[in-house]
Amino acid sequence: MANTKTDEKLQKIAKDLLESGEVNLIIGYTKGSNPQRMRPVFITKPEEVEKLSFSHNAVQDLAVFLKKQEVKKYGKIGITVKGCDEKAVNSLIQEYQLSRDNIKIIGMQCNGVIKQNLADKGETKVSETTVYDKCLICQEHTPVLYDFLIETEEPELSLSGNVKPYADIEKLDELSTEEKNAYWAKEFDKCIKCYACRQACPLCFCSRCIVEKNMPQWIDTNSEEPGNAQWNMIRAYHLSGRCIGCGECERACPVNIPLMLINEKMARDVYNLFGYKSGLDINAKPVFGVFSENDFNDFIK
Amino acid sequence: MEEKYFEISSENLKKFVDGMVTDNYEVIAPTDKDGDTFYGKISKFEEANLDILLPKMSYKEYLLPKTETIFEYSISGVDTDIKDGLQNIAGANEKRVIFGGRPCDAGAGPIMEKVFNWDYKDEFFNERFKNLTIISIACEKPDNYCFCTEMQLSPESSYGSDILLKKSGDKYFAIVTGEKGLNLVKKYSDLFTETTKDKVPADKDWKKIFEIEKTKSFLDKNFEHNYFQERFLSCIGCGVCTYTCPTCHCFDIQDEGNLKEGRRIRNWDSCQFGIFTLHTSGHNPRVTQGDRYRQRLMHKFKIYSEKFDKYLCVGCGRCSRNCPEDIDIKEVAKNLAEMA
Repeated sequence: MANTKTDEKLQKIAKDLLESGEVNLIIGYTKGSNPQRMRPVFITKPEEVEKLSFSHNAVQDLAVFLKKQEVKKYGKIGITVKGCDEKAVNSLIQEYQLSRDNIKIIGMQCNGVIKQNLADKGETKVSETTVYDKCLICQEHTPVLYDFLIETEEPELSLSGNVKPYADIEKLDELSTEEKNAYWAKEFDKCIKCYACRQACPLCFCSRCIVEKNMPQWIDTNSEEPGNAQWNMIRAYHLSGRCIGCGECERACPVNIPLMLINEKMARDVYNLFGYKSGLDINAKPVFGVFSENDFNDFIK
Repeated sequence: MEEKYFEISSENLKKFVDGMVTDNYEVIAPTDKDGDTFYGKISKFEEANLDILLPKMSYKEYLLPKTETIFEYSISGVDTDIKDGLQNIAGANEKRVIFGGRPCDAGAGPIMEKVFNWDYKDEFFNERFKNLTIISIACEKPDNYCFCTEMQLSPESSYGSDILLKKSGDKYFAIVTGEKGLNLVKKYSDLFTETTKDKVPADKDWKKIFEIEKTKSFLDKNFEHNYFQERFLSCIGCGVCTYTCPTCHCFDIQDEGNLKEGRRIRNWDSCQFGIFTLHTSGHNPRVTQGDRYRQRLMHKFKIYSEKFDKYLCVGCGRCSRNCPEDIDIKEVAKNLAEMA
């Protein structure tokens, strides 16, 4: 496939960054194993930049690689990010996992990425029924922070309002506690404890996850009840107020647990209770990292 | 037993499956749920999705459950009661039939059986495996991630299936490979008509795009090759490849419980996890994800075949389709073969 204008701009920026020595590594997308797939690529030499590409199939959140030791050793890094992924970069900076000085952000304007399972079946059109729910509620089609911005060639995503993103959240909200428990028990029963949700998450960066600690054994190791619920609950809590909604956990989950319902619900609750949205401001303090006298504290009785 | 051949009409195939359900068989088939297709229990023929190539996960869990209780204990005063987990699964799978899987999935059972009966006879695996009846359907259209032909099987291979069905117009030919399959056919004998081998359409000439022996010969000599570190820099260690794989069988033995009761279990585990080889000392012989993915390739395409004469891969392509970072094992194995 020929380069698009987007690809050319991207390659030019990457080439300049590598040639000037401003970065040692560019993390970007390249063409994948089928025409509807893209995959991460790591470029260290200016002559390799022509591998870089971007499209509505660039589903991965490349910020996940910023937590990886093998990648960190490159020091100064340039990264290609969509608006959602860029919020993960911001959160990593907020949480002192990354220095703003060590990252060059190549922001990609994005009007939505096509769900991978649909793309694999041949879907090529960006529309409200083919993109992820996160794209339908996206407020950051243009990344909030960038060193370079590449404008999109894609038409704007048109929303009829007929497709309700994360509609199941409202449905679940209306259920009784028992019914909610039953719903999630059924979902968590599918969990196979592969921890792909954790690995795919750019913000799950603990060098030793709580499930790997066994003195004491905080989380049961079994893939049944209660081990599965314990894991999924702790993951949700560790990400509330932090999750930037890239949806990589749900995309990676091999058994299709609707993890984004949890993440999005937590994000809404955090916003409603504390007026905080994650990943928007590198100078903001993470909501659970600060105490404010104005904080909601009705729960203390 | 020598292979036997039967014909069954599409109409009778439905009666066959519904008949098994009525007779209290637990029929596991590819079935649509959660926006994809998974193996699951069906209560009538129509619930089986026989049009898709492969369910997202394999049916490994029916041979090696994601959590298996090895034994349970309970303590009361000075009395300790220990219950062997094998008791829980005696006769497991006796009336369980996997229907509508593919030859790749079927091939995984006898391949895994080798390691489970190598030095230690794994009674849990054996108990489940001996009773499970596998009725597969030959593939007509493998996709670009499939490479069973390269892995010494084929889209029409009967290896590991008790009954292999090959579609031909409005009917199926049933290749029955052993007693388990034959018993089922006999039970529903009015639905099947015996035929001879020459009536069964010959297998197509499936082409290979690389030679797996060459992949192995690269692996034999290039443990330290840069390819592994460079190509798998994009691996996030999620383990989806190993958990969706029909032949990956690593498990982790864990104890859980308290002073009164508890159990020893084994859970699925993955060589893609950093903690998999982490020593108590803190040393980890597989430091990078490149080291870990190389291990997966070595185990599948070198070590297992040297020990057991079979590659530990059936070429189903699940690890490639399901990889969130689009690592395509067929492409990797081909790359390695080309570098050999």
